[in-house]
Amino acid sequence: MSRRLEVPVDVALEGPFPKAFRWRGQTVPVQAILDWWQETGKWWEGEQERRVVRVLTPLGVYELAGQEDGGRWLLQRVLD
Amino acid sequence: MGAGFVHLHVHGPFSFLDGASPTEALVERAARLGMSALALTDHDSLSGVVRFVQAARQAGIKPIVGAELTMEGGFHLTLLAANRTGYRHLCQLITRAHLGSPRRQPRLAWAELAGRSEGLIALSGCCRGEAAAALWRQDEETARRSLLRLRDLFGGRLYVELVQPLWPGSRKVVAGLARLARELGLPVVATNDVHFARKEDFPLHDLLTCVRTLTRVDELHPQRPLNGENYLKSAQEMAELFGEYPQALEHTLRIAEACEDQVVPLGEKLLPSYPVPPGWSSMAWLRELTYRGAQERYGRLRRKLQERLEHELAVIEALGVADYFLVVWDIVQWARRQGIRMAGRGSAADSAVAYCLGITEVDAVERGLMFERFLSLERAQAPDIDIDFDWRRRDEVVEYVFRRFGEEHVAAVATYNTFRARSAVRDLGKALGLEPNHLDELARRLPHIPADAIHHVLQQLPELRESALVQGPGKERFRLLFQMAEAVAGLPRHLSTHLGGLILSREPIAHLVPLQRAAKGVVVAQFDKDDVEAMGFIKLDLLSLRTLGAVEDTVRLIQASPGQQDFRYEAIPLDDPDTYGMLRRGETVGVFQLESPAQRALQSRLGAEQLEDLVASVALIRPGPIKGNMVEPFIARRRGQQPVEYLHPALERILKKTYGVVLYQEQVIEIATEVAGFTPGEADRLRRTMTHHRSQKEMEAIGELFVARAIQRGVDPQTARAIFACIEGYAGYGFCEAHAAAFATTAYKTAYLLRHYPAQFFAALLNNQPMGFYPPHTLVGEARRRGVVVEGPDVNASQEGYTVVMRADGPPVIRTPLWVVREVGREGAAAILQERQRHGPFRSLWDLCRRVPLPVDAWEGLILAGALDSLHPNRRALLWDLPALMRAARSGSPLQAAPLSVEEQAPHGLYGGACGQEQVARVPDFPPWQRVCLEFYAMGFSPGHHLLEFLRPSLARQGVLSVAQARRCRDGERVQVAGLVIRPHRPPTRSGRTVVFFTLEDETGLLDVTVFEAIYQRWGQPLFTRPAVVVTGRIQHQGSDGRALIAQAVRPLSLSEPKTA
Repeated sequence: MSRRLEVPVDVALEGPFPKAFRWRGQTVPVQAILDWWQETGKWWEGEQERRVVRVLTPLGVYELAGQEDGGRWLLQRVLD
Repeated sequence: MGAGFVHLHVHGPFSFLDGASPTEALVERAARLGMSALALTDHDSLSGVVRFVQAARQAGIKPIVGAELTMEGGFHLTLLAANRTGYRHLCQLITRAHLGSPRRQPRLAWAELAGRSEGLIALSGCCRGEAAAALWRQDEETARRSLLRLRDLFGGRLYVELVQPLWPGSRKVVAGLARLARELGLPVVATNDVHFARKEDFPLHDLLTCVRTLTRVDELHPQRPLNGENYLKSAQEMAELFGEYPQALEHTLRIAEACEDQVVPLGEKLLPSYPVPPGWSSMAWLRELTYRGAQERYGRLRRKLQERLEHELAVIEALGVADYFLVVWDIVQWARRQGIRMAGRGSAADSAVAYCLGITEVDAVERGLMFERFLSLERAQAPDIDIDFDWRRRDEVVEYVFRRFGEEHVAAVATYNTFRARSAVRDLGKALGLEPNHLDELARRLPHIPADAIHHVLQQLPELRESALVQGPGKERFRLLFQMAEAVAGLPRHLSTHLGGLILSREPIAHLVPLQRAAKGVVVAQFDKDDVEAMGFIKLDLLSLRTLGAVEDTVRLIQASPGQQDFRYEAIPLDDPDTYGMLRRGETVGVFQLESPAQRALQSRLGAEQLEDLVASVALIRPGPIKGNMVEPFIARRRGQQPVEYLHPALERILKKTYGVVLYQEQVIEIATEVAGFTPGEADRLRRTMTHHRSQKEMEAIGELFVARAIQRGVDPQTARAIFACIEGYAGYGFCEAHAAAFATTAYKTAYLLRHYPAQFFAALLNNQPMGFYPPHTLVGEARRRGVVVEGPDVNASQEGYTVVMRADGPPVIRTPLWVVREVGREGAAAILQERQRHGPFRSLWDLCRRVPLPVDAWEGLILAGALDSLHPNRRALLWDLPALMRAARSGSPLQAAPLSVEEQAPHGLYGGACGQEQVARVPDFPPWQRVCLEFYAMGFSPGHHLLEFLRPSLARQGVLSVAQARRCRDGERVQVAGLVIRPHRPPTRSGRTVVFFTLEDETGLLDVTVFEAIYQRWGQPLFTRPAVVVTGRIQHQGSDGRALIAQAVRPLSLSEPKTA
């Protein structure tokens, strides 16, 4: 099961990958990168490609999506 | 130093809708990235390899030829040809995949690989490879079995293909494949399953995928890529992806090294030997047949003719193409025996040998045509003979070629339909989710231009510039569409069959080129005409020409007319004054090659008096001569209004027949030979260089050579330079005289048929539609104006096609067949005819419905077209009755036992009282105007009337003239004329400005209209969007009988019901 969140979050990076993110007032450390992939959005509406990173944290498994330019990150999904 | 990686899995544009970059772009990027080689692996196709090999060689990188085969189960397998044997096997495997499966769904059975793996290197496949697909399903055992099977087939030439598409889970699959490879002792190789050159090309690939999968961009489909990673990545980017598998990268270089450079056979002699009688060589037999033919054509062989034949035969022998001539001779002989009408065309008519063999009908010796335009030792190019056949019987000829030379040794040549403006707008627009009716409207307004020229015409053409579509609320999506259309320009959309090209080969063709099945079941090679020529095939062009069908029908209709059974097309006199008189009046609608407005105007001005004028006419009305301003000087000299002068006495003989104007390509060759002493081959090279508009530098170099050689031969430098300037100015526009002469003969003969047998000729043209320049309603109007009565369709009188009844006491009659009626079609018409022949004439609508099961739309069409008028004249009442009668007919009504005649029905209403069915209301018939409109709706024309007839009183009150009245006006007189808009078009012009030409048609005739750019920009919007217009302009006299209208304003004409005065 998973829930789609699409919430903007602040992310601390190590190289191109998140090492922690802020979620509900707390810093959630990334314990492991489980997988990552590239996803093209609705290019016909001007959306950019984003990198999606599936991370293991003490709170569970999350997917974070970052824009190509590295600026904005979204907490895209939580996997229950 | 080269990059440490090469791409071995690359889809080019010939993966049709799955490759988004031109071949050249892929090659160029690979070369720029420092890669030493590049593979091309299209889906089940080698269509792109010839141009790929040429582009790679030009870029200095090694071309590796391969394909991605679709195996049974839909799995992909990447195969690369390491050598010529591998290439041959690849051709055979692709052929088997196509010919052994339903069309467009190639599948290769795994078993087919056995015995055909030698020379091939196999990569286990992309994510849709059997092993990878199994791992995506976490089925390791299947993956292992698949790799073992491939190892058994390919041994040490199998590599496990690792593709990292950066999808969720793809790392796991790559790791799984690498683990299995280690376990089985197989090498790994990295690829990127490339589908486009640069990352930014991804949207186009995605859009093409939508076109391929019939989805819209906002819909999901499993074949749509998740991201844009399948581009031609650099070695560095690939190294980052496969850092854990360095051997996978190294192996790309090892494979590239193992593949030979030249696996595609190019420039080889592939023509089969013709089966000559025992004791003869091909050349001796050809000589024998040529002289036999010469004897028949000429009777006595003069020395000049003999010398010419010997010269041609010597060239044919030296080029080793005697078998080709024998093959063509054989086909022509067979077709003639079958009574199939045909005519040779093109530069083959420059050959006296071809004339003696009966391949062409132009006497090259009498016309003084240059053989070297067709074949020359210096050029050493394959001969190209084109023959037109009656379009209905051309397939019989093709079937004969397959039978005669063996199914395995003959194939049709492919052609590629590339995206152009209209197709790009329709296909890509649909995928972008735009409304189909909006796209249709937009596409219809677009001229036939390349897809990347849309931006240009959007600004230039008023009917597009002022369109609410591209300016409306959805304009952003349209902007994206045009941007995508520009990117897709020139990419092939699908493979189809070349109109006439066939190739013959001494070894089975599937060993040299993959074959597949095209529409109509034709076996077609995957290479187009340029590719087959590059390989060394000699192409035969067996074309279908509707004009020959129309000629055949006309001759039959004439022969069926009283007292005309001995009529022979071949015996038509070439000097008939009435025919030339008609040509001079520009009354040539329906005449082959001479019916366009430009040709009709030319005929009026030229004052054609002899066949030579028609040969020149065919050559003159072409984009080149028009742009090159050759038409006016030619007319002036022909009519004696300008003196005919020659720059040098030697030119007089060569240019005499064209009044000193260089019009034909053959003349350029002859001038270079005569004045500068070029060999004929050198001269033809000069002609080709000029025709193809090479660089200015190259042109100057040729010019210097020409002048130097001419001076050596005693021509003064100034004259030599002037002659070169003259041929330089004209050569690019010149037309092949032999081709013009071949067409002109048919043009003249069709003009003769039109002049003397208009009923038969128009009936034949209408039977062979679509053909020619004008729609059926224009042809029907022309027939009427020539005194022919055109009768509509009639269920009790129409025959299979348009027929002619010659009456002793009245004008001839053309009877319209039933299949012209919409929704009836050939099958529906045949059903009615068959029933009538079996059980007699139809007596009522009820009788028809009962005896012939046609859908309601077909009956409605027939009623509206007047095909039931002879049963009852009230069309609206028939329509009213139709549903009930059809219901009764379907349920088996008691009426079956006693069908009623019209007379019987009359006292009871149409059907009511007598048959026990519901009473039918007595409704008034459609008024005349509506009847004619409905006839147009039902069959595209009205047999007896023109729409403008009904508007005439109102138009006259507004001072709008008929075409006939306008034609009687003075030169320069200002008039208003109304009519239907026929064939508006914008041909290329000398000034480069847009000029629209169209024809106005009313009940009295045709008037050609010219709309210059300023007027078009201001008033032109209705020309391409409305069926009828009123044009204000000035009458222009063209010659003694020609008339045209120079537009000053155009407004739409409403075709709504006219109000009575």
